[in-house]
Amino acid sequence: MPGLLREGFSRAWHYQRVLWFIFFISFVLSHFSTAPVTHKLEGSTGHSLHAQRLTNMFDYGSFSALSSDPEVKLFEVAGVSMSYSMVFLVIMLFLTGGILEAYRSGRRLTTREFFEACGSYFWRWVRLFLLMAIVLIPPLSLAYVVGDQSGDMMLNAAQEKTAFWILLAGLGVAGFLMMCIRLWFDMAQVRAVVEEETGMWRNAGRAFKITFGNFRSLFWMYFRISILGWLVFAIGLYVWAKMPPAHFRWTILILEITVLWGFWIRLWQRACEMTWYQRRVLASIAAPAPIPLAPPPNPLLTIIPPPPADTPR
Amino acid sequence: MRFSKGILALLCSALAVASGGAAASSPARTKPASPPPVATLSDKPLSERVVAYQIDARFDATRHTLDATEVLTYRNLTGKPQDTFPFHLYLNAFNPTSTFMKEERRDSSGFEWKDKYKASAEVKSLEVVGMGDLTSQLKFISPDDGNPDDRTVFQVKLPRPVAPNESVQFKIAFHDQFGEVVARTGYSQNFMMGAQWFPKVGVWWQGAWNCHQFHATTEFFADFGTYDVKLTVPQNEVVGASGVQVGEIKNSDGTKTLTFRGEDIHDFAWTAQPDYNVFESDFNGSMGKVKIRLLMQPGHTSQADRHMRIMQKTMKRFDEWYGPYPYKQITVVDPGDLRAGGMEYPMLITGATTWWMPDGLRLVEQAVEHEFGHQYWYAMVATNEFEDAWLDEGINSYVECKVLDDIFGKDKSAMDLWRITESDISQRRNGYRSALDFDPMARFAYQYINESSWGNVTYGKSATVLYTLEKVIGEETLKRALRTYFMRYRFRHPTKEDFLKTVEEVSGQNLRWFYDQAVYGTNVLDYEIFRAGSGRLDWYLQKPPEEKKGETRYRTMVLVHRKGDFIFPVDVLIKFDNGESVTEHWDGKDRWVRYSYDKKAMLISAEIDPEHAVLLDKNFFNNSYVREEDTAAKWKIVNYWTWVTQMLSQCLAWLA
Repeated sequence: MPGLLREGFSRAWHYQRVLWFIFFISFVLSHFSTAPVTHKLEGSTGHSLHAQRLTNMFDYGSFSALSSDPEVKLFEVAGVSMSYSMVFLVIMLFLTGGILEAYRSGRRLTTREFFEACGSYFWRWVRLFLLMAIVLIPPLSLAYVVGDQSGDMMLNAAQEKTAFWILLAGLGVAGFLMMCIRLWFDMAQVRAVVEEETGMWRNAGRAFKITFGNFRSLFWMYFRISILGWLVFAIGLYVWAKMPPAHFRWTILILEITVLWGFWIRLWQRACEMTWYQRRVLASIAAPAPIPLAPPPNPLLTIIPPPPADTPR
Repeated sequence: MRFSKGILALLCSALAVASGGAAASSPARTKPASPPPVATLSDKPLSERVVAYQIDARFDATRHTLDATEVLTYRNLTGKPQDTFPFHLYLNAFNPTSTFMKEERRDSSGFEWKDKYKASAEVKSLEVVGMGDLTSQLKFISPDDGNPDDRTVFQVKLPRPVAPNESVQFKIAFHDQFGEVVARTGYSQNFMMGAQWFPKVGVWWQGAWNCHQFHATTEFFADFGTYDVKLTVPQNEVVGASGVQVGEIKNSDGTKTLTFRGEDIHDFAWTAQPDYNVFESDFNGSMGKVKIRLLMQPGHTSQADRHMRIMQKTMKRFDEWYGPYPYKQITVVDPGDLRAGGMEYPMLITGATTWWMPDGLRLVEQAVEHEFGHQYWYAMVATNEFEDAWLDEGINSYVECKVLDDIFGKDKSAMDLWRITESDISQRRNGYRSALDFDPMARFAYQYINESSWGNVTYGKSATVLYTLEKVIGEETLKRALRTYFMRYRFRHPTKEDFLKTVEEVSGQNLRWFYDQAVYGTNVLDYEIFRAGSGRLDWYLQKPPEEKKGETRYRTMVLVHRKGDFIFPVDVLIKFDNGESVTEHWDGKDRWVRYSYDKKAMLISAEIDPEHAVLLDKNFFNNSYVREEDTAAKWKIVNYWTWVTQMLSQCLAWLA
């Protein structure tokens, strides 16, 4: 479908406040999650000359010493960050209904409309999420097995390159499968919004047929956007690695841009899929109903002419 | 052939090998005549040469087996008649019920036994020349833990003792079955590392036989001597070994027999792989030219230069700092399996790399430098690695840090990648910090609480202790002490006290206070600035005059606290905002000390150990106090933490 990416981009851009909203929530939640880190570091670094080794340069040895100090034990609070990430997942499950409804309607929803949509779809998304979690087990298992096996092989010099390629190929296949599954469940979400579908098992089945019936075009659409996402992410990391450690405020800005870009990529993909689906529905409505063809003349049958109009019935 | 060290030498060596059987036929009462050195740059024997091994081995590369005969001539220099001889048979460690495997499993619960790891060494026959076949007298013993299933040490009792200064000859036939490499020895695909592969007699040391079982944390201890080894392998194999190669015969059955000669060494290891790529260069040392023979994996040839560079730079520094490398060759092996990597044998070391190793990660340099260092602290200064593991691993780790600091710069000797830096000693010190007070350095290696503590103390703490010792006696003095220690104890088996006394002697200081805490104790060193600040001297006035820089008088107080139980004298540098600074010296004997100053200036900072020389201090962050709070470090870490959490959130949100 021509112009699909552009139209998806346009929809996502038109409703970009959702991007900033998500980024804001992510930033705030993540920042909250660092409260124990801040607390742990306050006593150790604020008045210490040694802390300058972390700002003027990044001395990994000093960081390692600090993080493992019994009075700091920085990584003990990693669980807090994990918890906040889980909260963010739930929030995103909640917001997805509003986002898709906005993309479907093609107009700016009022706050009320947006959150009503969020609420009305939430439990449907939870059901889809659980279903998707089950479907994701095979590719995740594949990634685990490939990682485990290639890890053993990498100890051997004769096999280490092969192991690397096996790992890369295995992760590539797992990544590909996961992207397909995401595409499928994104389609299920889009379909649920457009068709007002409530039965999620049935919906997932129909989305499966649509997705894999149009797999090439849909996957190509997602893949191009993903490549762009990874490219910008890689450039961001490259710039970050090249910046002097003392300029950490700028490096943080660069890294935050990569986060923002990640969210944008995901919203763009969703907007594109919605556009694709709506065009498909429109196409099916606009197309004229098929005219039944007259049966071919059968020489064995005698054609009886219609009776005259004035013939009493 | 690149071995052109004189036909005479070759002939003598060949004769020595060939005469093994004849010499074995009668006990010799006198010291065997030494042929001119073939493998060393010296014109006379460098060690006492207690043992002389003549081994004729045939390796089956398909079955990973080896059949060999060994003639061991042992000179009884113990000063006593000896009728019992213990032998190491360490290949038997690779069995699920061995002490080695029990300890391995105890300390790494993730370690899983696989049948392919199984290895064994079986003595087919043992004859003592003039005393008959004593095979039936062999008895496995477990001197360390009494494990009846451990078969890594056996002893044989002779019908009559060997008199002092008399020699005795053992003729042993043995069969090895190698397993897939788990640690140091074995095969992996077509790579083969033959280490601890032959029956090796124990060491008479400090008035007793010293022949420990093989443990997960211990390495080796053996007597110096000569090794004449004939190794028959398939003709396509490229072989590297301890010693130097003095002969090669191609056999009609598709094999070749390589002859190696090692002198003044205490172990013999070899490696074989058909597709090794061989690189050679020479190092011009103070005793002469040393050949560096590098065996690289086919996929790693691009890193050959990197290996050669670090070898040349390392050998140069060792030669200048500690003494000459006296052997004619050093073989550097890039092993086919990382589990055989990072290991030292006399005249042969294994490195560790992968095909993708970036230059900024110095793992190659760390491994090669470290293992070469063992040629000094293990191969020549042959300490007991079971009982004084820190003497070789610790001193060597310290020297590794000094050498790499010298080559790459102090802050970048372990890593300089993407603007993230780390020094080698920082890695070692962090290791020590994770095992502060469980085990003293002086503990036997197999008696540590676990493998982690052994590693972190033996390598990490020992290096950190020696860095801290520099603060007491000076860097140059410690370098001189190490040189003295090396030159005095090379080709001998010194104890920890030999080393410690050498340092005291060279430095002219009594260092017992330091040794008792650092080497024999588990004392923890931690000083902190407990409190510091400046307050107005006229604080009691109801209406004090306005503060003016350079006019208002302040009382500055700095409280220094010794948190740990390690007493160590420290300097404290106190800086004021008028540019003045004061350096105090505290002996650290009390738990705290207060410094007080009345000045027309306020405190800027107070810092314990401003030269950052007391590396044993477990926490550098509490060693200083700056009046003006600087939150940059905190925010930098917090912001990175935020970003990582955001990335994690984003990955999870992909599921939504």
